Amino acid sequence: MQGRGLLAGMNPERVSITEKEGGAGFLAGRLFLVAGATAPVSRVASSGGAASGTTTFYRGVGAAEAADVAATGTLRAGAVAAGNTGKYLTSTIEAAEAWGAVHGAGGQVLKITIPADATATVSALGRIDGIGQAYWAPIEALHGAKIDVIKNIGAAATP
Amino acid sequence: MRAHTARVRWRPPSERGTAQLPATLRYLALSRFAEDSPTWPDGAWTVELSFTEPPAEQLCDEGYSMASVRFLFDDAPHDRLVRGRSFAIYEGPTVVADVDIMD
Repeated sequence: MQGRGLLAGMNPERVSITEKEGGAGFLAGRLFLVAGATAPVSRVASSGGAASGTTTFYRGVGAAEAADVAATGTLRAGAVAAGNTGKYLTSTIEAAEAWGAVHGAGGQVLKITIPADATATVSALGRIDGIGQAYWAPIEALHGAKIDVIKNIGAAATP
Repeated sequence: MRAHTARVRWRPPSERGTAQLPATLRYLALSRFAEDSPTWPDGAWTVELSFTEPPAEQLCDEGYSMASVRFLFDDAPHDRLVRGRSFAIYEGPTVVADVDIMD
């Protein structure tokens, strides 16, 4: 399988994050994921610029996880994360919807906004499932995340 | 998409980064096959493992769980899931287990 994404040619090691600051905000709002100390490889949607220092991802979820987020206001690992210790995120609404749809009706696309410094442990994975760019966030990186529902995926089944 | 019987050989906690095994009947992970590109996980495919008991409860003395496994998406390379093949599964960048296809 050929590498098709922005990480082509790079090792899947954990990435570190740098955000250029100062000046006139030349790179404000741009978040670069850097593998080791090499060149920038990706930009994740950001909002608010360097002043707010937040980064936005998207995640498509099934009905069970959507209900859990609605009830708790948080993203949790374990039972509502298919047994995983973290969450897979993506950078576009379209990709999130494609992943969420696989879980059936009643899912949602979530907009997840986290402080830029919380992305230090987020790993860029490249293009996954032929759908889009994916990122892995350990659950600790998502504590304090702002979560907004931006789209419903299909309609919940009725009895 | 056909599901295959599989043996899941969990890596030790020091490699998985947690002492806990999944406490769920359904587990999603990234697959990594020998023929995958050096740029992996770029280009990886998700597999779904279904257990009759959560791995944390069914783990045998030999350190493995039994599951059924399939790719999550139609476009995945399903021909890789054949008897005798093995591949690794990951949570993000962290390897968690090796999977042996039994049928």
